[in-house]
Amino acid sequence: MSVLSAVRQHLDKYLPRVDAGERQFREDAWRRAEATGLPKRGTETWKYTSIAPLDMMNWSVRGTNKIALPDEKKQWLNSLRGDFDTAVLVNGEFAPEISNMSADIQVSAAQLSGSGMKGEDGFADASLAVARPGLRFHVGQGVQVRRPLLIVKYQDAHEGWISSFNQIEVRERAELTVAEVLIGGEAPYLRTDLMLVSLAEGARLKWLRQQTESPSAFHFNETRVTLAANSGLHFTQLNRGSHWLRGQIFVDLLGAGAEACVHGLTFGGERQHLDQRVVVSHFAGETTSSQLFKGVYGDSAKGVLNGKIYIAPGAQKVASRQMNHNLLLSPTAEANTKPELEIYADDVKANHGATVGRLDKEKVFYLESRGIAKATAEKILGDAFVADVVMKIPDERLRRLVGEHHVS
Amino acid sequence: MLKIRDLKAAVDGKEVLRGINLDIQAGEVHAIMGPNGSGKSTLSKILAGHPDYEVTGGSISYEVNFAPRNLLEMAPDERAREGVFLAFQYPTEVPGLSNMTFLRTAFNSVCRQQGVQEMAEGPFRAFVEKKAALVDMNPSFLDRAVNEGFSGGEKKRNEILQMAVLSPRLAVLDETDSGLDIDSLKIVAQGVNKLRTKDNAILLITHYQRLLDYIVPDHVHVLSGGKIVQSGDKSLALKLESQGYDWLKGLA
Amino acid sequence: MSTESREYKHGFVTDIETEKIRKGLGEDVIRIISAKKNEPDWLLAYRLKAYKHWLTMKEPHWARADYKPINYEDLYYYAAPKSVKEKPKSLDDLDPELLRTFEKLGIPLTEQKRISGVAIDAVFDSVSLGTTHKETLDKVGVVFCSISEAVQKYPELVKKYLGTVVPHTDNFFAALNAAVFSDGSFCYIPKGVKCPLDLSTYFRINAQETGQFERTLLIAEEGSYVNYLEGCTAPQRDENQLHAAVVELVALDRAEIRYSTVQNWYTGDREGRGGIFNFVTKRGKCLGKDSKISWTQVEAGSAITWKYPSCILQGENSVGAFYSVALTHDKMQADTGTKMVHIGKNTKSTIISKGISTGGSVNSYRGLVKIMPTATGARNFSQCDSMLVGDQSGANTFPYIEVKNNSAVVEHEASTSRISEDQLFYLQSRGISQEEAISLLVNGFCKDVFKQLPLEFSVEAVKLIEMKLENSIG
Repeated sequence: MSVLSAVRQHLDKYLPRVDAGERQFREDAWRRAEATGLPKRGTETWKYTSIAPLDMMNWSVRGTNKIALPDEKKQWLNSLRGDFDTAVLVNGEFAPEISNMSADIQVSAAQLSGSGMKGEDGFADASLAVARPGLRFHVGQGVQVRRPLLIVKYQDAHEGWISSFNQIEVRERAELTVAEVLIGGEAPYLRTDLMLVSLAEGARLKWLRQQTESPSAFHFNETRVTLAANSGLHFTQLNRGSHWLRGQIFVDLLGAGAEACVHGLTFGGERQHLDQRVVVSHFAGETTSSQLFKGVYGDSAKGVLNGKIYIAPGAQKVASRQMNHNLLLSPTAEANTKPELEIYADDVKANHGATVGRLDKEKVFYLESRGIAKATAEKILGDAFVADVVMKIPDERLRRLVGEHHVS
Repeated sequence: MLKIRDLKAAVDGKEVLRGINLDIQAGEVHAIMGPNGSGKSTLSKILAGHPDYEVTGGSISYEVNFAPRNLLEMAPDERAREGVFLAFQYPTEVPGLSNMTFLRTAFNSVCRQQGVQEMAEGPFRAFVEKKAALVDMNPSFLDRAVNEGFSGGEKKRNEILQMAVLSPRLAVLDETDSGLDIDSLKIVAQGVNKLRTKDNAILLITHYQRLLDYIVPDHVHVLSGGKIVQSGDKSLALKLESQGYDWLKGLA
Repeated sequence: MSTESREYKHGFVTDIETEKIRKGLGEDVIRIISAKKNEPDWLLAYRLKAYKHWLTMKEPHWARADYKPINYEDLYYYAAPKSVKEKPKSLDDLDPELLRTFEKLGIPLTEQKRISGVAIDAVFDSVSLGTTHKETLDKVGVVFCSISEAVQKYPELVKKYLGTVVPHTDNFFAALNAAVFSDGSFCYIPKGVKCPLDLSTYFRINAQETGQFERTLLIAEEGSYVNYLEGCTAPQRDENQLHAAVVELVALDRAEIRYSTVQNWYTGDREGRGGIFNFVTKRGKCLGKDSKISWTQVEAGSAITWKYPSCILQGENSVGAFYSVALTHDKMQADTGTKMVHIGKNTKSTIISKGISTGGSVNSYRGLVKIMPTATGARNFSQCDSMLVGDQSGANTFPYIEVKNNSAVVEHEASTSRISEDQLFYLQSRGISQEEAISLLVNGFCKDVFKQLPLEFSVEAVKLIEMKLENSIG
């Protein structure tokens, strides 16, 4: 059954049971999805990624699909309990019995209607129409949460489509550090994960998202972040797993003094298809942003990186940059990158750089000149290429969570 | 320790060195000065074995285990393991590689070559932190990526730190003073002086005389038009300081 | 500031009789065009095949440009000045009015006033009027004539290469062009010959409501070299004119082709009325080993530009280059760039693109660097810089980088800047007027591209940019 049919079928069954507000929200999302349709080959923003592999599978949308978190994952969680507050969602549903939240963060159910969330394209809207409301994390004004929050999203459902919607709100001058871990079982499932994040004036959010799903998983995420004046975001996305991945992050800088660092690292192997899109939009002047995305692709993996800087008319005195570097490790791997600039204000600094290819020979020589043999130097630089993004994660506790990655 | 005979070299097909002759003994400090474009940096890159620089004639003999070896036949990493060190004029950044890991890997490579015991992480860190004090460097730098976000002065001090850790026999300092303010210059010079022994030698490449106030050379050579046109002691440097390079034009 | 200096000085109209075929497109129009040119059957068949294919295609609309849809039925597809019924023996035989037209454009065609060092093929509306310096070229075996003449005199060459670089299936406008192209330049440089003169074609659209569909084919045999210059102008009119040209370049082993364009089509008035729709497919194929093709362009005209000079790097060690300055002002929209496709081993490409946007214009760079699995050791370097003048304009950069070979190295950099107030003030404080200062700064911004142009062109390019910048500031 195609994606859109699965959505309609689910809505017909489910909508009569929800309140009017939610029904309207979902119907609107459905209408938008139907009107735009799923992204096609000609859709510019999906140029390198086809939805066909998804559309051909037989997904059934799961409203609830209660399963238990596997023991080894529970053990891993326990080991982190000392350092992190934990919130666990299993198949989109909050599992309070294995979570452990402190009072600093207010947790409630996510609210679709009234959220203002809209999908970027037909597929995002289709996912939104059937999204299961998850959690809304709220940090009150001036609260500086000391312990980092670990959000674990575990999924496992044979040919199940689990769509979830979660929210994070950081109020004025509050601070929050989040590690979001997306893991799953071995079943072929479709995960569509939608998030709406808002940072109020002076708020700060450090966020690491680590995705390590099984090679049979299909993964789509759409994250929207808005930053008010003087707020700051440091976001790192690590993509390692899944068979097919499409991530899209939209960061909107709405007030002067806002800054956003959006970093990412993607590893691809086997026949993975990993597509990451980032759009940082400066709607207000005197804002800064920096994007750093790296991709390493081996075997017959295909990687796509699309990063965009948008500067609106009148948004003067913006400083923005974007770097995108890719390494191909095998003759059948592919890298496609499209760094974009759309600038409508003139007193700004905007630049981007993209590379695909071998290691910088000056760096190789530098290591050799310190006694390190060429082959070892190249291996060290390959590891450094990857470690660079991890080293830039601004919280030691988040860095420790990442573990070691080696470029072979 | 080092014997350079009639060295000729080219960069991008253009001849830059036209026949250099130079002898350096252990315990000596030599300075090479010259106008811009004279080939000073080229000489330092050739000694380190940079792939972009081509030797078109002549020879360089370097003493290893008390026997002369053809330096030009040695790969850059082998030269470094045998005690040749180049402090770069523009040290490159290596994001993702911490200074500590870099130093330890280099140090242990040299140890292996010399048949000396390698160091484990803990003792090595203590060892490096002591050396960092020589160049007035805050130990917190050690866990940052190599040269990333470092100011010009900090990069140069990092080069000298590496020199302190690797204890080379022949250290070539390529315009180490360029871009440094007087305070940074003093720190760097002091660091270098503390590393001098009777068994090692230093080759200073510099455009200005002021570094030589702090690191006093035994021999000063002037490189112009790809050749050494004058050699003398430190008073030669003072002459260049007061008279500039013009008077050399007739000598090339 | 007076507006006279901004007036498009090529906006005059030549008053002569033109012969036109009925408006609109159809098999009959194509047959008439082919008949008028006395074309062999294979060429007519090619046109008809292209036309049939065009009917199945849809006009591309992804370029970042807003324009009213073109009504293809409301255009003339053939307009020849009546006085060129038969090919003139020499350019001196031309209608004096036509000669005067070209003189006004600064392109003297008559014997006495020729520009030396440059052989010129003049194309008036859709018809090639003749070429200067024929004897010099004949002596070394260089063929430079109209495509219609080439079809008659060198059919094997035309047949061999026409459509091999830009097949009629390539895109909507290429198909249209293949069906209705009327004329253009044909150029053939024999083995080992370094062409003694720069070759140049001037296109001039004069007739109303006509589309210009010229076709250029340039073949450089082994070891040859040619420097080709293309310039174009058109009169001021209220309605839009369509220019859908196709240029094919073929470079064999060790051959080098340098193709430069200084484009100053009418851009429409300040409100955005009128102006040329410039939709051109230009492509060079480095067929042979060690061959080189470089595109250098200065774009300052046309209301809508859709143009991506490209290189197919097939031969081993071949090199492709693209140097461009695109200036937009008022309501102009430019979406231009290049495609470098690396197929052979050890191929290299360089892209340097400079965009200047002033007024309320939008300037987009769209480039593709594609490394195929067979392109071992491919190297690409791209630098795309935008300069925004004033706060109403926009600059976009859309580079596509697709790499399917792991030994390739691709580097791309782009930056956006504006004319620095500090620099402006510094120059003014040394007595330089604001206009001159802006000119100097913009020229500095463009110099990497200008230095690739042949001398006469670079002078013309600098003057053109300066003229366009006047009044765009403040």
